[in-house]
Amino acid sequence: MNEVEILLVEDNPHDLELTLRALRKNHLANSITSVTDGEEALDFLFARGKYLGRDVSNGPRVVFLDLKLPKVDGIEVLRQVKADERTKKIPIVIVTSSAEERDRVESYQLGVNSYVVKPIEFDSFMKTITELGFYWMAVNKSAP
Amino acid sequence: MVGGKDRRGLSLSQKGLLLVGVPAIFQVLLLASLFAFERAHDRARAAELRRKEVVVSAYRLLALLIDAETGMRGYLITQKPEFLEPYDRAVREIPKELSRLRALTESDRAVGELDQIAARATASLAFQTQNRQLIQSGARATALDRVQRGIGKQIMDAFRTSMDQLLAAEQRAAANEEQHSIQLRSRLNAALGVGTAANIAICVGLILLLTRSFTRRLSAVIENTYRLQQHQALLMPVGGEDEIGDLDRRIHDMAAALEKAENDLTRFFTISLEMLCIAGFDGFFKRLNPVWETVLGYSSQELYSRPFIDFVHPDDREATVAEAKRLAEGSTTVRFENRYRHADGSYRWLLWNAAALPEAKIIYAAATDITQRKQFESTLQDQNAALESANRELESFSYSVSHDLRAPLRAVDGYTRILEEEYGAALDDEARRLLNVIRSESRRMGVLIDDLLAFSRLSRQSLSWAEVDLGEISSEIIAEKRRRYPDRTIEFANGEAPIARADRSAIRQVLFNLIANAVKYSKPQAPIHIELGGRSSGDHNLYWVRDHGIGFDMRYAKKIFGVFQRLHSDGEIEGSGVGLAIVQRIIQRHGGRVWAEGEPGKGAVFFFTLPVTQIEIQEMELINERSGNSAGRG
Repeated sequence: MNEVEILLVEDNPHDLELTLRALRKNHLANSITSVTDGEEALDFLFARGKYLGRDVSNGPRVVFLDLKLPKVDGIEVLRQVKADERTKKIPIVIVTSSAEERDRVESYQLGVNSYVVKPIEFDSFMKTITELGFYWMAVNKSAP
Repeated sequence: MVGGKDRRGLSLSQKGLLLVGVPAIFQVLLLASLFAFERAHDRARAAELRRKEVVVSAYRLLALLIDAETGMRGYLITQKPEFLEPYDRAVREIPKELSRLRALTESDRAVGELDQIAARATASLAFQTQNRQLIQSGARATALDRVQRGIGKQIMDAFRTSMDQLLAAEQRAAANEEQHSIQLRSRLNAALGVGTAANIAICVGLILLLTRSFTRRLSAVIENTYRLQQHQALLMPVGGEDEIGDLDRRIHDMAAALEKAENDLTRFFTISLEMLCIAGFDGFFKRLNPVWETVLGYSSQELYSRPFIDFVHPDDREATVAEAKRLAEGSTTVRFENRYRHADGSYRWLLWNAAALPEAKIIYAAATDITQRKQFESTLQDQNAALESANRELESFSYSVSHDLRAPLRAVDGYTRILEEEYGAALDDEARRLLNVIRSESRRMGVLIDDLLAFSRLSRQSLSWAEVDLGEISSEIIAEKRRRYPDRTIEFANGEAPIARADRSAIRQVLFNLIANAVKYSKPQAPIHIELGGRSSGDHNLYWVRDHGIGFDMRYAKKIFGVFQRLHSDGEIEGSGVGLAIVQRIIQRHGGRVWAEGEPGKGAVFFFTLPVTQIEIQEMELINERSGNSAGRG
């Protein structure tokens, strides 16, 4: 199994499709895993449930995390990932429609690596996702 | 001696003086008479001594004369000169003796007798002198004859008679004086006796009278002080003008003042709406006012009969006991709350103020029944909780709005774009125009959502106060607008607007929206005139933003501040219809007012006021006020 490079946590199938389209267009999605709720995201990251047996240390290079998710919300996922020694070094990027100050403050308090508001206009959206993918895949150097 | 009235007229010191003075006067009188008697007695003794000397002197005179006669008789017989020696002595001594006698009797009545004695003594001596001369001259016979005839004896007898008379006179005087002395002594004795008796009687009388005046009245005064302490009725006034009478009157005055104070207190105690009580350190009520019965439903007998802690809610007993202990240690209770049982079994919340008098082991306390207030408070708390929860819901709603409404918009926009990209070649112009309409409308809806969210967020943020220069902010915004619309001429008249005490970013939002409005509603192709003005006006500042745009009909002057209220159709002017609602909300939260004046085709003026001293109006108040207003407007 190839190394997972991006974990995409997004419950909206249209947003998911648009995001994947943007990443693929720029050849940034060699190994993308997408999940649609917080619980599945945690299962993946901590290798449990249907991801039992996955090597936890073989984490994604970055997680694009929506905030408003079914079952377990994005803030809770962020909290658990950053609270665990095994996963706390994985960069988490909140990609959300919420421009709420409260969410931003809380996310940064929990140690989020980046917080991005999804632009409403399609052009801006595509551009932002492309830049995000490019930055985290090509520019940023992850922790050893 | 003294009538009751007179006795009372004297002060205590005067009475004391009387007690000492009256006997003293009697003593002085007694002493004076004793002294007078002494003087009389001395005089009598001196007179007696003198009389004895008179007798001695008289007999010596007699002896001298007899000796002279005897001597002369011997000389006559013997003619021996030595017999003349007694005669010579008599001649020498008699004048001396006479003068002594005269001195002794000088002040006496017996002057006549003395002259006679002197004359007869001198005559006797002269007779002897003649005899001697006769003898010496040789006429001895003549002398003898004279003697034999008894001439000498006659002279001597006369002398003796005179002497007897003198002695008798002296004797009489002595007897007189003796008589006088006896009378004097008896009078003195009588005076002494009567005086002493009177003195004793007066003393006894005075002591009795004054004792009655002092003791009985003093004990009445003492009794009164005791009764005063025991809150009992006093004895009748003892009367009198002395200090005891004064003291008694003062005590009666004091009792009257105390009674008045007590009456005042009782009156207040009775009419008070507060629950007033006096309680002992023994844990029982000592005194309660009638409100207690009203509030707790128990009779005062029931309340007095049990320790007050019995009436306290079991959960409050520990705190109540602790508070009573603190009171006993001298601290004061302020706003202590506990629950007391009502006769019907329910509990009443009481709010207490209390203070203790440790030396008397009592507590004074006042309580108010705050049960209703407590209920209000709890209702209010419930309401607040409901409000908070409503607020939270609202917040969560806006969260959903921001998140959930954007996503479909993006999808609409995105899929339209994908359609264009993937199938653009297959579409004709009309199809592409329709796609553009879809895109622009979805963009507009995005802006709308953003504005709505901004408006909602505005309510939840608290204001941070600072000195705000509206002119400076407006200039910045104008510069921004000039960059945004390079093809339009924007003229800005910056009047001298006073510095405001406000939240800077909120006021920036106000000015931004008003200026944006002015630009938006300007006449096309014409230069845009915008004017900022302001002035102080008492406790607030008035500001205005004026434009020369298309204006509006005054009939809608109030409507324009409503959310999504637009006076112009979408086709005419682009906008969400939230901007002025935001302006109104911000100004209201600052405690100010906003209104607009306009005329179609001539422009509009937006006025707003800001209080000089900062007051922050909470969102809830605005909501309440708004509901009130809308009800008012019907």
